[in-house]
Amino acid sequence: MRFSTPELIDLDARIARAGSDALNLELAIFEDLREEVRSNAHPLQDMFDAFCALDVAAAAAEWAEDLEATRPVVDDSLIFDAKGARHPVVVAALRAEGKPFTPNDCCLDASGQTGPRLDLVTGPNMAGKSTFLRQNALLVIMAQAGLFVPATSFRLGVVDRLFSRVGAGDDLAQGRSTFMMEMVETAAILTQATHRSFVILDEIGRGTATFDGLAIAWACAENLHEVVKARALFATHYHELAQLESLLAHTHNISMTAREWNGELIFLHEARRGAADRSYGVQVARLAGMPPVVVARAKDILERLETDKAHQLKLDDLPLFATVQAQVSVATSQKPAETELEKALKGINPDDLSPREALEVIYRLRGLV
Amino acid sequence: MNAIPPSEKDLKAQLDGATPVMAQYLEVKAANPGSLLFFRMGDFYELFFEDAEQAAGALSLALTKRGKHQGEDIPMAGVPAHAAEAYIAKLIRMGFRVAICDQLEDPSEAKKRGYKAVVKRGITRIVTPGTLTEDSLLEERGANRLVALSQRAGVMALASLELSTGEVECLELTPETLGTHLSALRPSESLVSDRLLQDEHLYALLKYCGGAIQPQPASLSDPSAGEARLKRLYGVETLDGFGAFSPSELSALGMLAAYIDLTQAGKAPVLKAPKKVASLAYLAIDPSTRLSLEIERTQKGSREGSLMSAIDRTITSGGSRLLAARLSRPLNAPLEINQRLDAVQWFLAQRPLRQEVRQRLRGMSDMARALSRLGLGRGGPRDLKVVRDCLDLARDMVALLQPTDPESRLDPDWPAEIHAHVEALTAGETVLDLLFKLEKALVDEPPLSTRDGGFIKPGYNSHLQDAITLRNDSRQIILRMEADLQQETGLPLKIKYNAVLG
Repeated sequence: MRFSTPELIDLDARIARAGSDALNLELAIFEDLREEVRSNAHPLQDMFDAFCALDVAAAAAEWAEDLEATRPVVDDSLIFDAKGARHPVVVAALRAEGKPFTPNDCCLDASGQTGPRLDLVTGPNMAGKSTFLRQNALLVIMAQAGLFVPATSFRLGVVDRLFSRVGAGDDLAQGRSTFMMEMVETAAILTQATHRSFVILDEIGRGTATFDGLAIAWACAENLHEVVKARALFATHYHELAQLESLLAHTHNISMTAREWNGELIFLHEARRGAADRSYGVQVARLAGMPPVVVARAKDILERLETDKAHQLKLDDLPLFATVQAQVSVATSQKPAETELEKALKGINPDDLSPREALEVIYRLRGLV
Repeated sequence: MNAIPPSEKDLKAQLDGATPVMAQYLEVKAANPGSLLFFRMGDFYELFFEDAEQAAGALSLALTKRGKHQGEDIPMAGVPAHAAEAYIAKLIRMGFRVAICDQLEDPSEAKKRGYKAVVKRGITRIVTPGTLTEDSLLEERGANRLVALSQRAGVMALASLELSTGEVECLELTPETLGTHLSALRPSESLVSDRLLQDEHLYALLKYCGGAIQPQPASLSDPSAGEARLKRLYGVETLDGFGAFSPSELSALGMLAAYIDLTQAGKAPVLKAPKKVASLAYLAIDPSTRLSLEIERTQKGSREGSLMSAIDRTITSGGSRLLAARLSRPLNAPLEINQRLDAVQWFLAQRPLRQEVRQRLRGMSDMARALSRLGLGRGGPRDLKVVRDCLDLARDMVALLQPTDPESRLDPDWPAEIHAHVEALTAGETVLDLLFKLEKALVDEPPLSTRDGGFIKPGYNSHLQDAITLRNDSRQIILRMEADLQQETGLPLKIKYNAVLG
């Protein structure tokens, strides 16, 4: 049951008024304060920015201490000279697992005076080519962002444009083929990069047939060196490109090393002067879990190719030709004659068959065996 | 903006036979095409017609009906007003824009005008991906930018605005370098004139790294109109104080100003002066390179495994945003780079001080976003608390950074950057005044909303003190009266407050 009395109603009115009076006063004070904050907004914003910048500087120092990072020497030269550098992301991931990271040096000079302008990086897949390339590009970003870098020393002449085509996905413009994409992006580099730019390129030409790819990679490397004149790292699996070292004035070969030990492949993740002697592709295939039959067969073919090369061809300044010949010889020598069964199979167009006809075909093929 | 507003004739035909509230709804709706309209009715925001169907599907709301319009049922869906923010957040993430139509007067005011009078309503805000200010809608450690792209006389300009922090900048560029700049800013929303969108290449680029694209009519990109809008936005007579802007920059900045005016329903935010950026001031990194180097995100889109996540040791969300901005746009002048490096080296050499500074920063809140909300007339008592606490912290920080040795106090060994920070943290007179007031007025732990009061210390204002005493004493009176009545009647009577009866 509920009751109300005149006394209560009067009281209610007083309470309600006092309550809403209090709230309205609070709101008015709030509005005053808000207006005062608003009129001081600019010094307050500056204050906040100062806090953020202090936070960043202290955090960067914290990270630098932890990673034993070093202060980069940034100047107007065209030099890129990193000693004992590590990949900032990979080193952190490895450290979490308690594993060491192999530091690497990289020395480039667009003027060609203190080092090569272009490094051609060869070495087996999985040996760390991409990590090496990316690591050097990240040093540029970190140094120019005003951060210390994971290296024992680093001198950098400021870079105006940074280009990286290392394992970039093709999500940027869907619908184009990977090769088309690769060419569009490489074209952008060759037209936009300057003498002051830094370029890392991985496996240019991989998206097309071998000779096309090699030819394009060769021409791009030449153009980067001769026309663009940017500091560049150029990774490739075309070992023929190693000859560019003797053809171009400011080019060195660098290889990511690996050793075969008891038939197993050990990656050393170390960048050394000189071209890789072989690609270890077959070993990598085994590591990747290819069926042993396929690996054995690949080894056979590889040996044959290598002897063919040595006997028939001279690898001078026309590596294209060498590959062409090798490829062609494989194609002809390895092809056995077609059997009846294969002929019959080739004659079938599955799209034209009704289920009933398909069944008949199976019976006929069974009869051929 | 996406849809064309219906012509007046269409609107008239639509209004035919509508109830007064429905007519009000249809008029507001017609003036704000391209957004889901949240129409405030009492304690709910209601959506009607197609909006109701879309929202019901997107938010799994019950689709109901409310009366008939021109012989057809009116589909309706609604969300409680107090929980609307969460629903709006969800819709924004799904790519919708949401127009908020509030009641602009107390329903009792409307009743005074007559029995049938409709409560005044109007758009108070349009919520879009690039104009968010609420913490619940924003990513804590990420920036949220709105950009406008314009081209006048063959020159292209990109202007960007971050409503949640007040940053505004613009730069001239070429179509070839647009990708570099756009991917550095990573906007949540892009305003682009219809004409530019016809360029297939440009469209693909915007789609890739421009966030939600809002096509703008050509009329909005006029530079002189843009200049006028910009002056209004900043409340200035002339833009000379900000530097000289080219027609294309004015056009892009003007598009931003128009959009802010539209989405904030005329409320002017507190913005920093527009910064004119030289296109060559930064290391140019194109979108593919960013993707390949995994600077802020990996190629799969996660933060984990990116350069940023590997090196980010910042304490505050603002610090994290600044570090991300620096990594997105490294500098290219050795002088400036070395100034930053000097500050890092200074902190590296002073381990105990560094730890102390980091310790203090742990308690800091996001004042930039609180300021933006307060500036727009949103925000609550807790935003004032953020300002008060930051001002407190600034005082502490300045004291902390001062050398302990009295002799070197006159000439501290600060690098230029640290010196500038200490100066910015040293409050001027009016700011000190504000701090003094906030400390006196605001309770220690204020509530989020102003709705229930209790955020101002009663002692701050004598009138407030009186009203509160009366209110609290009244409660005492009720208790006393209850006891009296119980004694008088001998019954266990209770006097309770009831929202309906009083």
